[in-house]
Amino acid sequence: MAGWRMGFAAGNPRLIQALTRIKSYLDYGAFTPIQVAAVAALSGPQDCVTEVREMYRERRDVLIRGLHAAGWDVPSPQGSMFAWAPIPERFAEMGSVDFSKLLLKEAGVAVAPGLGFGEYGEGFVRIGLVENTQRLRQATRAIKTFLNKHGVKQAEAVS
Amino acid sequence: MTEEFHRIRRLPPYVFAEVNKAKAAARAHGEDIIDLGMGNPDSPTPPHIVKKLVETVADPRSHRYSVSRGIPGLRKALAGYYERRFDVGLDPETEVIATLGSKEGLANLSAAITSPGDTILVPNPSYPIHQFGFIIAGASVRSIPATPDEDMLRALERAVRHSVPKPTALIVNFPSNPTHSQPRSISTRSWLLSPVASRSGFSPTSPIARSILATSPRRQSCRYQVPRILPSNSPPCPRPTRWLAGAWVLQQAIRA
Repeated sequence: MAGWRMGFAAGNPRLIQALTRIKSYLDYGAFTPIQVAAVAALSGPQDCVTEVREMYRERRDVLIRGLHAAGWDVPSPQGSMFAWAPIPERFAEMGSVDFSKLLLKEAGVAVAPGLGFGEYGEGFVRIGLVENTQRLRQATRAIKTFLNKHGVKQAEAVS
Repeated sequence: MTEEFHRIRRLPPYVFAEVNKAKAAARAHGEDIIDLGMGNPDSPTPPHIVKKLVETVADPRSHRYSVSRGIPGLRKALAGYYERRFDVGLDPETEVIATLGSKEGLANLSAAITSPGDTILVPNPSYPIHQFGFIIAGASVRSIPATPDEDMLRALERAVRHSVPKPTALIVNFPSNPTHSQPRSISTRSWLLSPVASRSGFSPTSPIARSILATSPRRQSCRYQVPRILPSNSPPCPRPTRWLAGAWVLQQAIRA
């Protein structure tokens, strides 16, 4: 439903009232069928939640294992649908924007440069778990070849 | 007049655009690019939700203007969800509002509560709208370094001590986008529960905040009357609202 643009805020009534007032001048709310479908999502069966969570967990494990095998030590995310990866030492000086462009050019993998999230995001890239495990394996293989070419040592054993 | 408009000058060119341009160029050359750059979920919406959408759209009555703050059934469903999931009671009339995704809600909330010159504390790195909503609204944003190796706790204390005027709001986002930090694993949690936070008016008095932050809830009095904000664009563990909707949570009533 990400593209359906349905969200909410809850809590502090003073803040909610302020937001309600300003929005009453700006919009007529989300299209009714989307709001009704959101009710079905919140109040209906929650099995899909478990399935989605498992899907992301599997993707995360595939990505992190693959990157470790490629010699890129990326911490395994405990939440969200992203890995936050420190740029490998070898490329540290070039910064996140140029590193992202190089990775795109040479490995065919697009990531989000950390600088886009603020100055303290420099030195990192964000990798989304937004492709299936087969594509993620393909991505980590390409990254492995890329890192290998640039002289980054590969891990000997994969746990 | 060739000078840029006041607000536009405060919005730097989108950094991601540069990489996106290179991506589009590579694709135009027929290259197979694996795009892990955007946080754009690829999995389909569960069928029972799509079915409900299709059923409803077939009824012409649903084609009229809707309700800005959300239809009553949706606000009730949200309150019910918080009750079941977090054991938190919310009044669907006064404590819940539907938004057009979390970006829109956060941007308009920023505009609604900010006076020009207010100081807002925002973790950095953060999802862009967390700070730019307030910048668009005319606030001064002070960054709190939120990199894994930074002591966020100390940075927060310094920011509170040295900001004039005192910060009006603090943005907190768990699990953080982009750093995926969890409230359980970083010092923000202890800061939000600390006496310094309390003195600064950031005490987690809300039942929602407590359910997320604390195992032993405690009420703290505040010396300053400031809005306390605890947004989260998804609940603390990978759960449905992450894809269902950007969800964010504001702390409950200001206690003076």
